[in-house]
Amino acid sequence: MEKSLDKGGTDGKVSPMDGALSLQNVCVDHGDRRLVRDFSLELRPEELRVLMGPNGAGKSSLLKALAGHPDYAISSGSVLLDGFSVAAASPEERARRGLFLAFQSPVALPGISLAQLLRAARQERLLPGKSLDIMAFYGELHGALDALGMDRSWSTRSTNDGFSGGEQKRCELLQILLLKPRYLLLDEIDSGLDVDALRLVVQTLRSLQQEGAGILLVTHYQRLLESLSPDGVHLLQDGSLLRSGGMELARELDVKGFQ
Amino acid sequence: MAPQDLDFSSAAGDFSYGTDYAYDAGSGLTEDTVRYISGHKEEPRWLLEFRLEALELFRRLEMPDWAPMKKSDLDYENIRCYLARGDGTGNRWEDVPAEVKETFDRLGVPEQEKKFLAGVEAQFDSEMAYANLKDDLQRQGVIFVSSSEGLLRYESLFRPYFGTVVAAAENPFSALNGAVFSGGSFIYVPPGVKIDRPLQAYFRINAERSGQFERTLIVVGENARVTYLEGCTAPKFETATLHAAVVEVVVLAGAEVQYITVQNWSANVYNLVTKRALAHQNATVRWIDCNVGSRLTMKYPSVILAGEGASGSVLSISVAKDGQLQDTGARMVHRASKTHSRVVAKSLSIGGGSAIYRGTISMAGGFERCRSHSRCDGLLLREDSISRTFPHMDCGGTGNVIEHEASVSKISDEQLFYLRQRGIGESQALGLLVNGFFDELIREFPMEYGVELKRLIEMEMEKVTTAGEVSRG
Amino acid sequence: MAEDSGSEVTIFLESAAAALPAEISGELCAVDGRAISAEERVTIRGHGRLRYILHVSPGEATGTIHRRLRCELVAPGASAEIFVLLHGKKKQRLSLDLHLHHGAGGTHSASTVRAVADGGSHLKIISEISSAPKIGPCSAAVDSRNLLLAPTARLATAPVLSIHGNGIACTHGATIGGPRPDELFYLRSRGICEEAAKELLCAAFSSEILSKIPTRLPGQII
Repeated sequence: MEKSLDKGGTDGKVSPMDGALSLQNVCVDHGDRRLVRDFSLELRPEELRVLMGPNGAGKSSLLKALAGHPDYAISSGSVLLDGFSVAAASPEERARRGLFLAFQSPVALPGISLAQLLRAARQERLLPGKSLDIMAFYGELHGALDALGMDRSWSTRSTNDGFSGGEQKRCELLQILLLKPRYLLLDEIDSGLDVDALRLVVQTLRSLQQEGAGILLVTHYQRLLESLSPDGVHLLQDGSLLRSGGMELARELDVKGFQ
Repeated sequence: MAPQDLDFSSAAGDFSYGTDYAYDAGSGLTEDTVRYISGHKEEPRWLLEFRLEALELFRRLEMPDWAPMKKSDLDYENIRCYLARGDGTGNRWEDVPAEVKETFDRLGVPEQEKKFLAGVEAQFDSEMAYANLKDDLQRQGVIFVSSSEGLLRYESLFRPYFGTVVAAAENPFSALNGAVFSGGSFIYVPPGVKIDRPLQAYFRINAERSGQFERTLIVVGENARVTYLEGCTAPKFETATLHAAVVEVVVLAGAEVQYITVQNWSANVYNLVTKRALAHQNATVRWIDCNVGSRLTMKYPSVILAGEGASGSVLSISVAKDGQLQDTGARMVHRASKTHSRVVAKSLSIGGGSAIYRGTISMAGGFERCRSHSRCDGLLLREDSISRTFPHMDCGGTGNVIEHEASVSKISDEQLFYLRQRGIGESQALGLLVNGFFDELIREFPMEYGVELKRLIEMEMEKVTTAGEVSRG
Repeated sequence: MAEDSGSEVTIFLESAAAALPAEISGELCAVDGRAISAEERVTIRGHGRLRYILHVSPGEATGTIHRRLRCELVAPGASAEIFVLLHGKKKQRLSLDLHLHHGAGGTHSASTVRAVADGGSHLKIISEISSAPKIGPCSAAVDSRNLLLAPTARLATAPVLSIHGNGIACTHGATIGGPRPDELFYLRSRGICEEAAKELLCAAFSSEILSKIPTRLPGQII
């Protein structure tokens, strides 16, 4: 297996004591509007934390800002990825350090197939001068497609082009399996999925967690959480972190709504 | 055939060897220039008269209002219109003088010939240094020689068609070509002969302050088939170089022609080409036109659909970087019923480059059941990039349909961010997005050219993005 | 003419002297059904919105009608929705020259052009979308469909795009053709003769624009 730039070592597994995705007093601005203020959270490897809140609370904006989206700025506070401050880092650098954002509505990339995208992404994670082992790559890709119940022909389809909601989410999961990120930011990975697909998501997330990934999951739906046993549930409203708790908070919100 | 043998990059052509020219018409453009050329080629009287008339037309004609340049933008006093070493045309590489062979070796031409071509002509400044056609094709009566040789040795095949598809009076540069043309191919494919490997002509400008005026005439007999590939390079000089070519293609009933040009002239070349095909009944013409180089290109491959059931298509890719203007497009003239035309043009403007599409679809003649579909898409990479489309459609008659779609867009920030979030660097991401944009069109090209063209586009992208000039703006 | 932002004002241009206001900063719907030549220039300011419905159908009168409209969207929030129906008959010559220029980011335009050319008429439609350099995201779309009803009719169109690199997303679709054979056949198979079938199809084609015309109320006619 190729030696990679991130701290994954040779088998992708990371000791639970290594690092965290650490947000301290983070403010997120969109132009001159402040969307998130004073947000703090610590996400460690193998943890799953849930971010809930009404529409417009700032959840997606926060995730995008963490990933380095050009429209959103982290205007104050700090974000450390395994001790590294991401403030000045480009989106691709954050990605190579192990950050992955699964989009709520992934953009279409006509003419760029899934295979092309993943090959480029994997190649870029190698040390300069090293080439991707194509055979091994395709072996992995096919294995991941099988695991997700996706036909081999998926790899030649233009990414997200004409995909249904469920297909889009599977495509994001496929990328997660191939890129093996350390910290996953999942923006409503469960929306629009049927029962079988949801089961697949749960399975995939559980095994990723076991392999050492830290997951920050944005969701509206309680039912996913019952199968996942989150380490923390956090309520974001109007850009501020109102409350934190465990599963009982999620259940309470499900019953009472976001008041 | 190994695709890496095709190298369309301009760096590949950016070298120059000093050489002696035994024949030099001198700088400038006078009647004497024309007589010198015609005399040296020992042309018949009718052709000398054709040339002289064309010179007269060149002096009188002006560029049309819509053109991005005026005739007077170029300094004809300082252009050398005819330069030849005097070696004649070899048909084996051993017969080609070392200096010239060295040039073509470096460009990979003999290699390509060995591996996948049915015939090759290599033109060095004004004359063909090399021309060879596979024996079995020669035996079948296929002719593939330079235009001068075609004229002298095969006048009965050449003369009836010469000047019938593109008139000297069309525009100043078709007139200029008519006056001083030299080189270019004459191809004749007898009826029924289907050539499965391409014929290639390679045009090399070597001298500074020169003009290359090749004139190509292709006549394809009934139900015959041929693919022709045209490659060209020039070293990057500080001074302007002019390339004014005329291509005429006559496609007789049921015949098929595919004409592929990958143009990557250096940034000092003015590339002004008039190319047109005349398609008879049930004939098929396909122009595949890629314009990546030159300072200014004006080229509108066209098809006159003169017989029922004829069909013509133009697939066009152009890339305009800083300081470049690609003014390209297509012209389809429907002059018979049940004819069909198709245009797909994609352009990319990077940096301060300007890409212009000009199309004309004409179905005004009272014919019926003609169809045309054209699509042009422009992609802009920076705020000072420019994309313009000027499509004209003119329709009458019964049961005719013309459809046109166009779009202009900028690389979206969302798409760029998505790729970067997957760890792909900005420059690479742009390359992927640009190739994605061209992808569906490149799929229609013969595979070898598709692969190399993608690589060429990636290299052009890299030049811009590694210079720090990326898409944000 | 009253133009308050926050509510749309509707005007019907009927007299020969009537014209669109030179500047629009509120919401204006203008309906113009005059079969006359005219040349107009309108500047739409920030958050101004123009909805313009132009219907040129000279009926039985022969002659030439030339309509020209240049519309500039100069500040963010400006938008224009243009609907045009041209219907030429006999030996009429109708031409339309429509130019929408986006001078600032945050502007939007959408143009729908329908032209019907009947026997002996010549129609010419030029539509241009242009954008200034270095402006923010905006969008423009032109949908132009043209119907030829007789072999002696003639229609030419040139949808021009002239775009500087910026956030503009611009699309254009244009078609020229006769009534669709399958539609004609369907009607004829129901016993409707070809002439009447063409009229029906033409009416359906035109209704797309005609249905946009709001009802007339007193005080709106100029």
